[in-house]
Amino acid sequence: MRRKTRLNYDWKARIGELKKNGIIINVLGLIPLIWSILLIFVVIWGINVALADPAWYLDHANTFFTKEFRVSNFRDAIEKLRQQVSDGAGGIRWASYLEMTFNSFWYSFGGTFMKMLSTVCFAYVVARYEFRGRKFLYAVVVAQMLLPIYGQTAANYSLLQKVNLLDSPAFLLALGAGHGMHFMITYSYFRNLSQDYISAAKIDGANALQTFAHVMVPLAKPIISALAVMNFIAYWNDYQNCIIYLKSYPTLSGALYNLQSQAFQLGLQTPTYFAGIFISIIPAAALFIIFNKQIMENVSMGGLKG
Amino acid sequence: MKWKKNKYKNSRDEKRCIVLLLIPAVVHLIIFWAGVQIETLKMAFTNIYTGDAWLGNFKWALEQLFAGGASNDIALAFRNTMGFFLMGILIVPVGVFFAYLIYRRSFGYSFMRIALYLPGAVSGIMMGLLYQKMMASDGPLMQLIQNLTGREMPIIMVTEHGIAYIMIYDILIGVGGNLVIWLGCMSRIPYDLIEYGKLEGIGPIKEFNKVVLPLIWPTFVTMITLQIIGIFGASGSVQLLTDGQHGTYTLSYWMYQIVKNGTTELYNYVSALGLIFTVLTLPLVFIGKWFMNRFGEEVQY
Repeated sequence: MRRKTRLNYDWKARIGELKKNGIIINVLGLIPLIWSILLIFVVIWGINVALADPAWYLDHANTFFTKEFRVSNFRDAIEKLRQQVSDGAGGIRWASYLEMTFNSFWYSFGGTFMKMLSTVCFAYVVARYEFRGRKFLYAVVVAQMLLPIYGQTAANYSLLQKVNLLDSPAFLLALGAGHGMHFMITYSYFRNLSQDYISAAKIDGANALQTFAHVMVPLAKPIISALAVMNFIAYWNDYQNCIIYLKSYPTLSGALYNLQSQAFQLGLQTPTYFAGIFISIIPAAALFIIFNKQIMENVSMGGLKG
Repeated sequence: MKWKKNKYKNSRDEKRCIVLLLIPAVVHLIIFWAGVQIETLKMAFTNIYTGDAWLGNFKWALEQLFAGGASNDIALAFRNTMGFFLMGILIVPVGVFFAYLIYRRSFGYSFMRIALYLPGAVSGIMMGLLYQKMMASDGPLMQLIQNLTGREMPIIMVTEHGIAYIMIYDILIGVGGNLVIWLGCMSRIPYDLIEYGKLEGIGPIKEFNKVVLPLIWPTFVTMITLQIIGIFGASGSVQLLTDGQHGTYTLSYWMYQIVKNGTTELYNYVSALGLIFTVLTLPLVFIGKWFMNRFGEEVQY
């Protein structure tokens, strides 16, 4: 029934399936289809603008399709996109595109690592062991989800300042939250794994930590990798935290947000700025393209109740 | 009461494992969750100028909230926030319906699955900027509409219809936001039930109403509840599209911007205002959940 490759695609069965779906499903299905085409069209239009000759684009911003292309926009974007930051000694310096890319990488990898480490360990213990305080911890996680305290940005900023995590790579420690929706998904996954795996590992002489690291984590690899990819994409695209908490370490997303109004002052015309944005999304977009199926399938497996 | 020795029958090795694995999350919970709650409470009840304990921050917050006048930022932000909240609620059923059509493998379902989820995976800055350029008065879409209708002015101008401008974007982008959850939920529906319905001769609309919706109802309630929980945090893409200009401030963005701009003298007022909204959220969550549960029963499958 499942079709893995285009070459083996069973077109006849697919057409039969569409016929079986009936006219209502096929007609209503046109709504999300048009919606999807619109979204993809906007992205393609953006690529088209990123490739436009800036001089030509200046007079043709109202056209859908570029007629004069300039691939060097991408090189120009890397050279020209930069952001002013404090040099730590009271002065200012310029952060280059490459430096911002490096910052985005360590922020996204570090954030993902911290969050996954905390979430997986926490979810496993709460799901698989009975211990004093277990119910309390679970209740805290639920309460934290059910009742978010508003207006915490100020308190968060103040706290991070007090513990010296502001404007420092050590800010990554603040990203290691083991609670939230990802906890729930991982918790439900571990909870549904058979006890036989643990028993078998015990018989083979594994201690509790070895069982966790060598048996349970590999078993949960599909859900862990799907959540890790989702986290990486989220951190890569995160600009809100970066522009407040990591002012001296501008990431691509944070800088591109800040540069929206300054692009012209830096001598960047719209196509060059677009080119810079498109280069910046490559890692997240590539991960999404490679892992979208795994994300859709595995997050559902762990998924919410229903 | 004396604690019963080894009540949970964990061996020493297991106890060591429990403690080690709990450390990262529990330390984080204590410092960055409990710590922030304590800091919020402390700030909300402290006079920022004298450092003394007082209730003036709450008085100020309530006055701002209920004061009228066009120049009142917070009252305007409150109205906008409610608008975004309602929009968020309305998007949920649309998302479910789209997911159902993908689940039923309507034409182009694989493409739709990727395209609708795509905005959540790529940079918000990119999508926001594309939308801004597309909708700009000198952008291609407005040009096309002007050519078709003969109108000289663009239909949606950010300067005049800031909120509508943001909402259109959020609806376009947001519908596929929870696609992963809905598709995951629907994929768990036993195929026999769908087949049985088909044998009984029910059509797709009835199948959606009578089979699919009741089976995904608990998740539906959860998602709506999450929307209600975030009622005062509803902000749409204000930061991305307008930066709060043209009367598009929302409560959460107003609070965020105070920190972003380093307006430290308002930090304690913000904390007090946040606490007021937190207290208001609690009954709303229970009322909302009770209301939702009146329409459906939990189904085990």
